[in-house]
Amino acid sequence: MRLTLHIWRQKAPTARGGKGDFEKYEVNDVSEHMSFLEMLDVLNERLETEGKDPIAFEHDCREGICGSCGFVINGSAHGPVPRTTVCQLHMRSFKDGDELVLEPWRARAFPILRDLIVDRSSFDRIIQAGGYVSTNTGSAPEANSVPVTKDSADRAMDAAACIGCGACVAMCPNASASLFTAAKVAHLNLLPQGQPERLIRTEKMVLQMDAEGFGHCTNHGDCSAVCPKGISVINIAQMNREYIEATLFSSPREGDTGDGA
Amino acid sequence: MNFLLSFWRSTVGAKVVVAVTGLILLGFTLFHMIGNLQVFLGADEMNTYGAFLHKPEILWAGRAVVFGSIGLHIVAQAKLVAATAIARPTGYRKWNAKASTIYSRTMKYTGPIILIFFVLHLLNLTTGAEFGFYVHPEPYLQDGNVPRAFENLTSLLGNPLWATFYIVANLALASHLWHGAFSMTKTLGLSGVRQLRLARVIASVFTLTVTGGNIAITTACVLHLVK
Repeated sequence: MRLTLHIWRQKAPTARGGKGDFEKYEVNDVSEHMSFLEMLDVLNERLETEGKDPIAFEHDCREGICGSCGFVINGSAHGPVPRTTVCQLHMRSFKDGDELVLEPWRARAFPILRDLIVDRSSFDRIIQAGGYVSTNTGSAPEANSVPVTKDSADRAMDAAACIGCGACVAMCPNASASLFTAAKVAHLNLLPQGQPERLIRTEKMVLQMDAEGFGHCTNHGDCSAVCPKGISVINIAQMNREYIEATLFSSPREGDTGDGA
Repeated sequence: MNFLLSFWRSTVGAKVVVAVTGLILLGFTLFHMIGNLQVFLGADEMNTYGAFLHKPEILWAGRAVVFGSIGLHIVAQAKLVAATAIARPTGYRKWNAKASTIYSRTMKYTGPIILIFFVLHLLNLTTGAEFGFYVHPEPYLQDGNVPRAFENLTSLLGNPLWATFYIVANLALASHLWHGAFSMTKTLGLSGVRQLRLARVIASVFTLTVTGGNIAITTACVLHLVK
């Protein structure tokens, strides 16, 4: 099949004042069995033989589990197929003569590094703020000594499926990172190991999310609809509830300065 | 008090303020609609009700709650909108809605429409300002200092232009509540799947009841069905 691509090209990072624009590419001989990234690989090989800069895009496992890849195809994060990362999207989802617009995630907290690659360190800093459990290491406890209900285990596992790709932020009309943050909060807060730090974790991660310059959540639901792992918005409601509990209904914690820092 | 300041400054905290004040205002819209249905009972019932609401302690307690809620609702939301306005400096060339609705995406427009309506509504029917074809009924007051609610309302809404504006404002309110009345449950932490499904139904029924009642009153007045 033949495709016309309009791809965002940007040489310098946004953080260093880089500006970009769309460039048009015609791609012929696209096999329907190619993944979307393989189609771009073929285009890049051609660009390189022509002495041009290949299109920069992030990728790693190409199995839909690492969370590296992702860009917006015709207004949909990761393209038109639900619950699919762009590396697992195949060209059979498109038809001959399609015209596709490829854009990077657009958010202030995700500054563009080059072409379709954005800097998602803001996600890392949200995790650093509280997305962990502190445990004293020693010999592993007896596996059955810490009971976990099936319901909690299931919901924690669903939340833990988040691969941090950033599609939620990309599709949110407010560029909010609530779904990502809520998934990470819920994943740990639902499990016994996460209980000691449950409230301080929620508070710190929410404040870090705000500090990174993401927008606020207005419960549109576009985030969950494009999430390749189908993370549910009920996690956001849970995060809201625990944030309310942490700030309004809990006693000051040791070493807590009261500003959530 | 640091914790309150921290709560207010956070996006989740400010949203909770919007949700709680929104919940109070939902109560007000329902109360206001049901009260005004008395227009169908006739002038005496409506004016007696108006006089009852004008008891100073009821009037000022009610006003404090409603004005306070509206003020906080707007200030908290304005703060959020201002911060979010810069969260995506470059927009998309193409963007497709996946789950969001026209109702959810127009909250920041339907809100101001409702505010404008609210201000004009108060000017006409509370302060008694005469403008835009609206002329007081004579006599304007009953029992000394209470406006004659029934004659006021039917006189204003007897005008097709005002009636149209009131209906448009109620459609904006319907759109605002359709999203807002459901969204607030998630903001306040309702996370059960079954409970949220129920909340969606309640929010929808509530929205249609309140705005449907208001539009029925307006329609009855403009068609001179109530006398």
